[in-house]
Amino acid sequence: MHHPQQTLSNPSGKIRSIFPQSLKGKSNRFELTVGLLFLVATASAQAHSEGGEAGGFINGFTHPLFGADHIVAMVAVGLWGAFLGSPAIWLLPVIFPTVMAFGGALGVMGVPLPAIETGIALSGIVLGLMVLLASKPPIWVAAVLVGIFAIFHGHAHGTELPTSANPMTYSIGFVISTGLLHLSGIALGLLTRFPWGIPLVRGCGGVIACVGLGFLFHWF
Amino acid sequence: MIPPLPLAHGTIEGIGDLWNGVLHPLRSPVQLMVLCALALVAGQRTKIAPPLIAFLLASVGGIGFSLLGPRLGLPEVPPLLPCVLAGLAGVLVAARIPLQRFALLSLFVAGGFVLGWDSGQDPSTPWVLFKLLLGAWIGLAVALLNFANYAAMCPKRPWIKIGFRVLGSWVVASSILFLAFTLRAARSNDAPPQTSPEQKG
Repeated sequence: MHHPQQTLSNPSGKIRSIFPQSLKGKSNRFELTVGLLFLVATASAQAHSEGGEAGGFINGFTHPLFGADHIVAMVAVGLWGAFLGSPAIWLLPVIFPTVMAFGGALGVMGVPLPAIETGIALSGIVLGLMVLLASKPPIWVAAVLVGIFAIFHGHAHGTELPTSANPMTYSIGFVISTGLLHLSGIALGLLTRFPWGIPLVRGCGGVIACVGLGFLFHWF
Repeated sequence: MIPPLPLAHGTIEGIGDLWNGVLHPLRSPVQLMVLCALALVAGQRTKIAPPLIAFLLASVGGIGFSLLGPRLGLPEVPPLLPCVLAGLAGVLVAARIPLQRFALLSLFVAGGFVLGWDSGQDPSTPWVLFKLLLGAWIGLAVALLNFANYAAMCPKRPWIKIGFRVLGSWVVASSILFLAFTLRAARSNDAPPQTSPEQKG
């Protein structure tokens, strides 16, 4: 009996999985995973103006990502927290956004803060050096240091708020973005569990410090 | 009086009044933030039913107050109030501060009342208004019950507890910034209008 799918290369006519039989059982899960990845990787329907809540959130979420000085400092916070271990691993990523919000509030209210860009650059240098030198000060010292730098970052975000952005969703967006940068730093910092991870993480601290130096002396 | 920020949103065409009401809490960033914060607080507890029930009952009262308020000449919900509630809940989550039962129930009663009050709609026909408000209550209930249950279902592992603290700090940070934006808007509204030189002459 001729099967519709019967061909020379598929004489049985059965529709087979694209994966070999050795992966039988696992192929369904893999195909499902790949399918889901294709679904989430599709381009979003962006035939609309980026106003309102969506525009504010996107503006806020991408704002820290457009500044390398912000990125390196926030990754450094997570990195240093992971390096210091508990409770710094959660305390620093909790303190930074909260104090940053105070700084942001100052910026929004128009309260001037001197040497914002210098403070931001210094945050990269100091936090990077802390990681490079594997410095483990008392937890309160680390918290105060992180808090001081958070004010500078927050003030910069607050003053740079786009006038057209929805302020509430802008705030939520850049707080979430900041937190995710911390998490990426923590994830990187957890590599210190491995022997080869320690020099790698410390090297990342050195890179961060160099980037901070670059911003301080306007190399970038 | 601090005026509310212009965060009002229109209805979605074609889905009906009930569904517009149901989606209202999800389309309001402030309400969503309060719901998330309260869900995190509930999720850190072992018994989540009492605060959730308190919230649901209080939200009915809040919705009723939103109906009666304009008729009695009472103002709309102050924009700072949901913000302060969310910030307070965020602090409790971030610092893992255990609350006494009465304080916890008070927090959820306040949250439910304020969100119900904030769900008030523009006057319309009674039937449309009923559907909008019923939908809003359903939306609040579904959102909080889901969020709180998901939070409670999370395994009590160290890194998940850390994640809760981080989320709490995000809520606090967002609340502080919203507070600042609201105060800035109030300050700009209170500022006297600038007169041009021609007007001064």
